[in-house]
Amino acid sequence: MAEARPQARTRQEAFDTYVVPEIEVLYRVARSLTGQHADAEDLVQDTLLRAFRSVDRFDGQHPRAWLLTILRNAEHNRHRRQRPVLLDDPDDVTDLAAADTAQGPEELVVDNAFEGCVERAFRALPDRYRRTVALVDIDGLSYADAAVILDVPVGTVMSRLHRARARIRQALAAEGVAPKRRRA
Amino acid sequence: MRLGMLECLRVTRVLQSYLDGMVDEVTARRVAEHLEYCRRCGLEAETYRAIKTALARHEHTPVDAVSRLRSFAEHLATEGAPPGETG
Repeated sequence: MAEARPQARTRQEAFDTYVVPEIEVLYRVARSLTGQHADAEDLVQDTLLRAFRSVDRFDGQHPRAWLLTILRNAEHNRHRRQRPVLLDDPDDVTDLAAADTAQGPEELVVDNAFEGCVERAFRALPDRYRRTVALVDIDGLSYADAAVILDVPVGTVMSRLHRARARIRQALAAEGVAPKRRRA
Repeated sequence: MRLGMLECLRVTRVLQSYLDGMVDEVTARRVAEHLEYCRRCGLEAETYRAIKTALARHEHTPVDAVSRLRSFAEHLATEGAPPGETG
């Protein structure tokens, strides 16, 4: 039977096969979760340690999802130790209509103003939206992997992502950076 | 409602999933065809692509942090985990 990755024989081999190739992704995700480089590094070290201890029990299926689950649990433990858990707001649906495309864009100019506006709008997003965008658009996770790390259904990842980008789109329009319909 | 507008609405609904490569082949083909001839939706798609590109450039992973973590992993693999709480 064909396996996606070769079967590892020892703990070291398993660690090299399943864990080491994912270090950079783990760091990027940790950076998005913690917002701090130093915290991200600590979190990934903790994750690597936990992964090393349990890699001999790992079945080799979906190593990234397995590692993201470990990272998520490690992050939860850190939170429990460091500060009280804040309840995440339920996803609001008030901005579902954000993706209004009634205005017909005429041309698109991507320049510093555009990038600056995207940056400001990204920073202004509610935490749960900003994290989701960071995981998918900055860290390059799939919807499914982002769902693992956020511990929410894939549909929630998708709706948060779409609403968040629509908010950024709106901010571009509000600042006059996004393309607008021109009157002839 | 005109047929063209109906199609624009359908495309708008799946546009972001399409740009993320998360729609099936048939849907992707239909959206791509629509974006070819509908200038308004085509430019909307370009805007969302540009947002994604701007975000992707947002931050580069520091090489030194990743190499420190690789060394840590190498050390774990050769020396084993230090005694402590189990994961």
